[in-house]
Amino acid sequence: MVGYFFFCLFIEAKTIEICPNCKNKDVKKIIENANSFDTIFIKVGIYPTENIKINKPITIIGERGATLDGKVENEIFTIKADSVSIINMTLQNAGRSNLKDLAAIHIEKGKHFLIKDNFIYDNYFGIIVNKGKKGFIENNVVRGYGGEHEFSIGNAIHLWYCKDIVIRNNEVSFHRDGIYFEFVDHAIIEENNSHDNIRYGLHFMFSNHDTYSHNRFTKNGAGVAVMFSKFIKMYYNTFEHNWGSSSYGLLLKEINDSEIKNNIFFENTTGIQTEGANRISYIENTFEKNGFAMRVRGASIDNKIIRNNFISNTFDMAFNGRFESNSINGNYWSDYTGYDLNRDGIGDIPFHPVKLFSFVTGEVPESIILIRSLFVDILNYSEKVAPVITPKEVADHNPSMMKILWK
Amino acid sequence: MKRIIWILIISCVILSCNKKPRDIEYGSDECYYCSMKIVEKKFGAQMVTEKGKIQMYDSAECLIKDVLNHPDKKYSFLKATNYLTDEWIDAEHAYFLISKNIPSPMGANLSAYDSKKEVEDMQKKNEGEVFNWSEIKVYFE
Repeated sequence: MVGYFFFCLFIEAKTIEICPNCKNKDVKKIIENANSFDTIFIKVGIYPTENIKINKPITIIGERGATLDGKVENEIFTIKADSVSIINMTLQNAGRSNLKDLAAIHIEKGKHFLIKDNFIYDNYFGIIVNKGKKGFIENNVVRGYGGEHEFSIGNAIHLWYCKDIVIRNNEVSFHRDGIYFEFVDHAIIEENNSHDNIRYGLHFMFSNHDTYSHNRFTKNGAGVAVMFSKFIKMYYNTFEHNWGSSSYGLLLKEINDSEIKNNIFFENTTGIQTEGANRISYIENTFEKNGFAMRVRGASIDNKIIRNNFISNTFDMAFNGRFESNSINGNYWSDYTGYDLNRDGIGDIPFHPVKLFSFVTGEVPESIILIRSLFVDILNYSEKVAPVITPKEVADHNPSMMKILWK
Repeated sequence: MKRIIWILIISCVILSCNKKPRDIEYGSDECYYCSMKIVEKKFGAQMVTEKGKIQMYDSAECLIKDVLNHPDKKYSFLKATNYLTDEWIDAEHAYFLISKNIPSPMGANLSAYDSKKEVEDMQKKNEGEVFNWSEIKVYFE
């Protein structure tokens, strides 16, 4: 910042105005010919333009409604410079290609960028950042043309090999993934609303030390997928209405050393599905009205499931494979029918969250149609009287009698 | 009535044993290896086991890793998607390109092609390394 002001003393940075009726209305030419640190102010109107190359620090500000239309041909902004800001623009109809990732805003190796208050509609990719550092993506609306049957569309916000990025308060929808991370470390993702995306609301691949909090993930193929990643913190997010045969609120695959705290999982086919997830703490989350609240496949070791609320889920837990060194302690289970004679708020007999029928559906998925039948009641009753298959070690020995309140 | 039921049962059995590739239902099928939802038409793959069970994959790299992880598993055939035409091709006779310029769903930058000419054209345009089936298996081992 100091360097910026220092620089300004020597080069007079000016503001250039563009309007539909001015002499200057060729947006591409004006931006490409501007000097470093100039500010371009674009007045309201629609400007058909494509492939604006930015290779110097510059600020582009739009009046509300100032629209750059990519004519479905190429990218709108291709940025290869540091300190570029794009504020309050409407960007639409960037090119579509199955062979090339085309975006409305494409940043290559940029530092200190700011993408703020933009409306980014009907593009193949919304924002792509390759090898970017220390940038902000804030308050944007990124909406794709993807619907239920349109799969040829890219991600709303796509990051690849990035570091120290903040993504805050955006609304991302109707894309492949709302926010996609591949090799992205130390990012902060907060207060975003990601909905109606074809695959995932938020997707981590090979990314470490990232934090996402206070986001809302609604009606996506699956809310969030965290894959092959480490040290991810997940706080105060809401995962809801992620319904469908392979839909999850949160999908964890090959992830280690992470924390899942104070999240709400409401009406998902499966609240959390894990596979090869180790040393994860699940603390004070609420699982309500899901098909499966938690489903553990394959080896998952050293996990802690503490002080969560399990309320009216069809199945609270399902395990296939060995339970090993995981601990379940002090959770609230709405299905718990035990008693509390000494009135210390902790149930006197342990609760076994795995029902026999969940094993059956694990082996034969089609058997789910029997779920409300007498057969299942008899099965569960017989397992209660004479447990054979239900794993003894999967038990909460200190079930809470009351709903857990977040501290 | 009884006969009709028998016919239905038998035809069901026969149909379910039919070993044919099935097209991927994009956006609803899930990768058998990595559980990811399959959405990218250029990378899908599948295995049909000896018993006729169909397993879909979101990318050829997932198929290859699954094959390597279960060397004793018997299959009727393996299919990959031709990157250029989106059509099914035989994975065991396909050519593969690993190129940084063609990112694939699971990060291996792997795409599959039907003919040597196709893969060499793509290599000229996008750089990278060409493999056949036995070479690509060694690469992922």
